[in-house]
Amino acid sequence: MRHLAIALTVLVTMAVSTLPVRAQPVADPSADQQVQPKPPPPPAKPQPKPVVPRRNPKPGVGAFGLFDSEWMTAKDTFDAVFETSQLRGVGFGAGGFNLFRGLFARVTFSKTSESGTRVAIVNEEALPLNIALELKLNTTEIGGGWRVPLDRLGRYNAYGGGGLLFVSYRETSQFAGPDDDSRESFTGYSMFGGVDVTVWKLIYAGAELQYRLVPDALGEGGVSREFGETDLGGFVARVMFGVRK
Amino acid sequence: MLLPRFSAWVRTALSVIGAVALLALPDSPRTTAAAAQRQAGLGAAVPRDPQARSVLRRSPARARALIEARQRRLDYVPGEVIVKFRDGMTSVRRQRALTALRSRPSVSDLEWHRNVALLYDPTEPDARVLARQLNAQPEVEYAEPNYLVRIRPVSNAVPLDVNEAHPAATPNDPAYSAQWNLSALDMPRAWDINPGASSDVIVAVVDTGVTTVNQSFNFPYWDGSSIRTISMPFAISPGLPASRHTRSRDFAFWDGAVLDVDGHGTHVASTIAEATNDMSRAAGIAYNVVVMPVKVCTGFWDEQIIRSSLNIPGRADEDDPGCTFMDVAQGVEYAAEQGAKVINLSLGAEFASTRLRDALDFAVRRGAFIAIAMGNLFEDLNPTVYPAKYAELFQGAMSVAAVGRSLATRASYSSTGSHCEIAAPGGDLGDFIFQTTLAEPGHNSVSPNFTLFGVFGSQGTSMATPHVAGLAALIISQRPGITPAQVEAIIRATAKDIGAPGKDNDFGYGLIQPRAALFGLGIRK
Repeated sequence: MRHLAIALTVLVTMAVSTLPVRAQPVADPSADQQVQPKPPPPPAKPQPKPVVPRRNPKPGVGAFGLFDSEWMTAKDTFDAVFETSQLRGVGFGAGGFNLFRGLFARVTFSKTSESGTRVAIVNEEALPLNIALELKLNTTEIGGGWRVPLDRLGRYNAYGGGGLLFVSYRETSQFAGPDDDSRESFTGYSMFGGVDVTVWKLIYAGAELQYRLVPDALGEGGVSREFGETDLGGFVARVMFGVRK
Repeated sequence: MLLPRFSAWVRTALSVIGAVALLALPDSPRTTAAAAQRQAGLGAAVPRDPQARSVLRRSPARARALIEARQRRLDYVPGEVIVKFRDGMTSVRRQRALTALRSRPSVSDLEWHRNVALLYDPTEPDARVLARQLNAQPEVEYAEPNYLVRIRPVSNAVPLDVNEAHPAATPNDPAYSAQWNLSALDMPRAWDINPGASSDVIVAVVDTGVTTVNQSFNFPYWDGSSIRTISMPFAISPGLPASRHTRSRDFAFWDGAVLDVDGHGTHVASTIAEATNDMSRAAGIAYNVVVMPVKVCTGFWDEQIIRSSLNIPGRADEDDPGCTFMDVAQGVEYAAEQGAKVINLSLGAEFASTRLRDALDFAVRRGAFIAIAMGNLFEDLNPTVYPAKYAELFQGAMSVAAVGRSLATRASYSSTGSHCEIAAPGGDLGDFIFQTTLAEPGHNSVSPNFTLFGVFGSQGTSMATPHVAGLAALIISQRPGITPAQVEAIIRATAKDIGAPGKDNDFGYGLIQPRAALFGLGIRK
């Protein structure tokens, strides 16, 4: 829940920061004052160019590569097996932009793998047993959200949104028997927010924070049951590089 | 390929010991008595002169007391009491406490073992009286009789039915197929993970010993009409070669090499460590460990020799092996001091002993995991058996109950109690635990020979206990530096709950699961 609250705070903050600023009415300070003689008109200055409201950009498509770093919610479980609860992954994605007033949709695929060892848990302490364990997570996300420009030219953008996660989970161990390995698929949810910047022509880069929730994927056995951890999600920091038109 | 060889062994064995089916004969050389004396250097013979008798661990008077205890079926050694004085007691204060006894012994008469003394007072055979009188003295922390532990296998020395033995795929030992206990525990898959532990792990078998020499010794012997000195040949069990012995020690019989004249110790040691996958005999659980034979119990032949060396004619009682609490305590402490990481105690008695409890405490603190038999007295009013009762006091010592072949029901003899912690196969209803051990010569043998070994079945918590000791050795070899408490926690956590849900008095936390204990936990499974 703490992670969820933090994620919501991040997203709300980002969303608020991307709202257009409206002009506030200002009271005329001269209304209650005596009529003063008008000062002489200042010398004529060149008029600035009028601000042209940015029109809705045209819809476009893009593709991107990504690097993920995920801090797993099941921290104790992953710390026990991998001596870290931070998993790194790579992936790619594609999407449509500005589908309707900043609306975008995307599909991403990321792949994470990590090597560790099976353990014995004694008084919440993990004792590695020198039996190799491999974990492979393939995560497909179908998501969407709103994207707003942060500058006049639309070079800087902020976005936020959510999506559905489909996680393919594969855990294999040395010396495993037929029932010892695990190959399952789980469904979860994600919320994300980030910024991107056009680097050069069609090329852009972006950074994103994501909160993933994959409930009840863990906890039925193994270390995760010992620690009572059930969620396969976590916080993700993501960087992306892509092209869009 | 295996079957003809197997049959040949059987034929050979049958020809040697008649109807007893043996699977193997030792190929060890047997030296002459004279050569033995030259090689042993530890007093290779016990001629019947008083000086040579000192080779025996006990003084003649104390040896006689022990024999008397056995003959009269006493629970303690007459006149022997274990005394621990409070810290800081001077010799004068100790002497003051001893003057409470009728015989007023001197402190110089005390036989010290670490910080505990053994007092022998021949004027008061009832050791309970001695202990009561000493416990009343303010200088004494505790005093207790030197109780006798008896090893009471429910059934012993049942030869393997040759028809049961078929070549097995894994391991390739011909008697493996009769070792239902190992296959029921899924040991082949456990061995895939950890093939028999390693020689870095020392397992002490505190028992009737495991013979450590191929040698003959001259011992006095009652041949039915007179006492004469004869040559008795001994051999190392082919399943436990000398290269896998270390720091053996005899606390019960003599100061010489450890000799198992009973077979109980060798059977137990074989369950733990018998050579495996050598296409001969049977398999053991942790077949690469080093065994530390610590002899604390004497069998029929030990006592027969002791009697004869004391010029007592006749034969010893047909009794089960026995040991004194003091010897057991010393053996446990010795094993821990000498680096044993696992200690097997397939013995027990109905008497509480602070001395024994302190020895277990010492050993666990020194880093030794201890497996202790629950006892075979369920059908004898199910008394609490010690030192099994003490296992609950120490994280790192486990009391072991026995199950039969079904693995789901308690063996009929297996003692129960709230202190029961774990269960392992011990055999029941004719389903024996088969291992290589000594083919004990018949008690009327004119020339006893201790060089014959075979695969024999026994049942009892004595047989269940080495399963846990072997598993502990596997865990320790897989995770060097693990503490005894962590070993116990792993064995408990991976046990299969049988009987009443949760921990119960029959099976403790359940039946050991060696593969699960070695395989550990992944993320989801």
